[in-house]
Amino acid sequence: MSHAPSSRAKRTARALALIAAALIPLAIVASPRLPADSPARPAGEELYRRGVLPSGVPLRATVLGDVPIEGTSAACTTCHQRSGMGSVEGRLWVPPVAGRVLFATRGSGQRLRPAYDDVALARALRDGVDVAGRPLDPLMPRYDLGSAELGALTAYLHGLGSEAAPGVTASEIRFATIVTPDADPAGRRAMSDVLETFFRNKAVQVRAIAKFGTYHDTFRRWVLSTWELSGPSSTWRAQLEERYAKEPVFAIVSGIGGTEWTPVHDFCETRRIPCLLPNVDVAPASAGKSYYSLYVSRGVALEAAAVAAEIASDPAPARVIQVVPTCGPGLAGADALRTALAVRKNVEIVNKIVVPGVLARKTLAAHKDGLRRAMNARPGSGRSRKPMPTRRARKHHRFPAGRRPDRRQGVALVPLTKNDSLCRRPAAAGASVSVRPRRIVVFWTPPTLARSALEGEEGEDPWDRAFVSSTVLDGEPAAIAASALPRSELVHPFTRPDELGRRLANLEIWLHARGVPAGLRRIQDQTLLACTLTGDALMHEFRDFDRDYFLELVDHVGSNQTVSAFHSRLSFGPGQRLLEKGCWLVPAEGDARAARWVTP
Amino acid sequence: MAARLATVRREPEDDYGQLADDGLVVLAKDGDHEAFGELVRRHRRMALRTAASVAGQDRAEDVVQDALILSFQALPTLQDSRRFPQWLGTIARFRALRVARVEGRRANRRVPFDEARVEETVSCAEEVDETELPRLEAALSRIPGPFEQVLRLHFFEGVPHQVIAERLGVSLSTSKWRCFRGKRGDRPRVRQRPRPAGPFLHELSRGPPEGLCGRGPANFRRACDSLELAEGAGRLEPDRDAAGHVAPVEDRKGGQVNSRSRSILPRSAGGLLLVASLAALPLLAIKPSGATGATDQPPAPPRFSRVVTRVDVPSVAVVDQDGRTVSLPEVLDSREPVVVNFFFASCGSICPVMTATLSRMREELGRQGRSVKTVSITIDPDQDTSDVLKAYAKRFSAGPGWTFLTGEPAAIASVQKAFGAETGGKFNHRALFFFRAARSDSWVRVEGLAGASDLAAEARGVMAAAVAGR
Repeated sequence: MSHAPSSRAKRTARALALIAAALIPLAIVASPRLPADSPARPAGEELYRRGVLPSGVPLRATVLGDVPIEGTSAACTTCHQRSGMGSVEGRLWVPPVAGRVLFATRGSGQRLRPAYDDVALARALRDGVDVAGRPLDPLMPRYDLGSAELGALTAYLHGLGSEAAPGVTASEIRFATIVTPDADPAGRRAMSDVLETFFRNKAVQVRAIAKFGTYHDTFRRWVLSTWELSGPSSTWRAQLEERYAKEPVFAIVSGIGGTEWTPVHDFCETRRIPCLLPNVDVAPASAGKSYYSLYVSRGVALEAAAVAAEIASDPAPARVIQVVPTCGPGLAGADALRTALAVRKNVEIVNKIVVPGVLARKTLAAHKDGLRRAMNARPGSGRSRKPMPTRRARKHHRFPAGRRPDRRQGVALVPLTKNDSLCRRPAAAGASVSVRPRRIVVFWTPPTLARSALEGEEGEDPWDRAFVSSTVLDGEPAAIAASALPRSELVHPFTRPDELGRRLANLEIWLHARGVPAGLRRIQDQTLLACTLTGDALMHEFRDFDRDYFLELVDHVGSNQTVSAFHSRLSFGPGQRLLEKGCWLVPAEGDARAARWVTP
Repeated sequence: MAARLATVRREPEDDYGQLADDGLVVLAKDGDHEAFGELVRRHRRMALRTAASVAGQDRAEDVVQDALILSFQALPTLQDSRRFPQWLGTIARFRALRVARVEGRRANRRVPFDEARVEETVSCAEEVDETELPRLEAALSRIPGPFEQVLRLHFFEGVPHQVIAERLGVSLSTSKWRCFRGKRGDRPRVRQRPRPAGPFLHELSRGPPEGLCGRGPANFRRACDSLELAEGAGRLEPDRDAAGHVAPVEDRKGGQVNSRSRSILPRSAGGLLLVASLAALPLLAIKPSGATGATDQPPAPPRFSRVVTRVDVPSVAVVDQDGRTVSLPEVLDSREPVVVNFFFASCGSICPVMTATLSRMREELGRQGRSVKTVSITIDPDQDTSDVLKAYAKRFSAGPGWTFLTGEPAAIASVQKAFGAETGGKFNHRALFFFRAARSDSWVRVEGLAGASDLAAEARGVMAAAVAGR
């Protein structure tokens, strides 16, 4: 079965060509009427994937002897998967049915299973008897198919998995990663550091394996190209098509974007390229609903949905103040929250826009840097050779001159604060004057810098409840600790903060051992996760390089192996395309273990 | 068991058989699980003999299992690749010595197992003493920083000493020394904290309690299952008596194996991966060409097993398909007969079949069937929100009296645990049905793909019991 893709393609082409002439007697009713290009295939595809007969009636079958099933439950793809390569669940193993496997001999000796032909396939589907006359597993449904339907399905199975996967040659497998022009340069660096290291290590591994020989033909050299986009987003699609035409790739691993990713998403879906976990905080609207693009989460939209659900859970009137940056994921999140709350009559929304500016950002960086130095936890630098200081030393750590975080400076650097009158909606007429609405503040910027934006509101911390977006803090424990406000909750779609620390130690050991310089840890972690999932899935793919099968394997390996620091709840499932479906609401005061998990 | 995918598609001609040990060790160091599988196949018997000679025949299996996992973990530290068998033997011998010592101490407290009572009292739930967690945390926090750090890294994260030493910039022996002193609860001569709970921490050498290590026992069970498979697939099939009932041997044994060997498993993310892959290794050993005709047709194994068990239904809040928050004990009100199963909506293979079977069972029972409450609990609560459940219920035209439940992941996990249905991953999910008569707290656990008529018979049984109880 170890065909190079090209020979496999030839084989199946031959098989397809033969179908018209030497096809099963059963399909004789159907095939002669069909033109040479065989439009029987869509009918077969409908049957295989959706369980709908050409007549539009749902497919019916009997399973376990006496249980009737129909429609999607009876469709082949439910168990044998879209690629036809079968699946494993618990102790159940579903054999592959893709044409090149089904219509070929498997095994040897006592385990020999002769090749199926079209008559044997008909017998298996109708009577549940395999090609050697043995009964099939009771879980394999017995179908009542007419000969035309059977013909369509057989033709589909012959073609299934027969196309050679683009980007795979006998010696190498090509991947790409995509960088959009609005991506954060620091994040970009973090991503490419990890990607380069991983691909370099992979090359060493593959060389080692090729030396010993046994499985060398299942391993290919991993080649990575970086597709850097430029110009306005309307031109990205054309740029991607051009790059893809020049060098086809098997899959897109990681990638980084700013607030716009939809053109890339659409490109991957149209070209049917698996796109694994790009680092985007503003996911396209169809994220999670399409087949080929896998995301870490819906990003800020997920946070906004969680906050909206929390606000909506209390029917009392509320006044929501959003502290919004002028650009970036925070702005997108604020927009999503405003949209989500717009339908609620008794919620008034006020947006306070702050301009953090370059200097403010620097202050935050200095602040983070200070904490980092205090913890002395950065590998890679000469300092990390020193042992970790004791708690006592950490407490009395002296910041280097001029590097001490300056809170006053932070406040001073938020000069522009204005009420966004366009976003303000008057409270609904029904809201009684006597009831003072709940005051809720949502921070879409680092709150240490944005607090002065609330000047003019009553009181020092003018809220009954506050939410802080964790994405704009990059989920960094130091930044989270620095932004603890009274009566506030962190909206955190990552590993719960109290577990994050020890998981980060693992990541840092990985990075350190391979000499990767320190960078944005969340980006590094997510990129490493994308690489690991790709590697694991490809390993299981063995010689059957197929994109659909690859995605099924990613679902499989991503469902029960924890390999990431920021994402400890890996929970892909069949056809699921988002890693995180909910987020933690972590109270700033008290124990992080009291956090609640919400799935909006 | 993801790694199985690769193994079942293996061709017979692909074999590591020709390679010498040292070649395999080099491959295994590079993360090649198949190579390690071959090493295991070659030297397992030797390790078993060594372990049996020290710790006795009945403990040898567990010891070797532990030793194999340890050796895989420590493989990068093996200097001379050609001495792998000797090295593995040493690990097994030391492991066996330790087990023999610990078992000797435990033997005084042991009570003989009453076979007769098993039918009623076997609980499939994992017993984990969560109350020890705070104590352990507290004890750890009392140890001085450097010691605590090494302990945490080594035992909870499974980081080898060499890596810790490199990371902390200390020598290898310092790292080991700190670990040793930290475990003993010693303090350096600085007087800064009260006396730590030394003896308790010493138990770390047997591994921390569940929960700290971010790894479910189910993974381990899987590893055990497949290792048993390697030794003789027959043992996985419980014995059947004349009535077709199955003695609950499997659960009992699984539980025991579990509780003892769980302790030394690696703590880290990498560890999880390792366990999953180790689980697949022995499969390779016995079926190098798994994807052959014989696997298509298993020799008609018994389709399901039936065990009576007791379940402490946890009082957690869950959400039904209409978005109502309800309390689980209320849903499983003991005044009516109930059937419970676990599923998830996006599942291929078994869940749709299980749901269809339940649907057919209800049809078969007809009017009677309405008095049996059917409760389907999702194991994927993040994905299966109440809207998803509603659509799913509609897809199987589930009528009144059939509730689909989701909830907070922690709550659902506790329910799974109480029913002994935890899986460690969606893809390891098994077909499980639970029946309970009215006014009773003993459940009939049906594992495997029983047909609709089998389930209907079971349901009639619990209804009859309900009538008799009145």
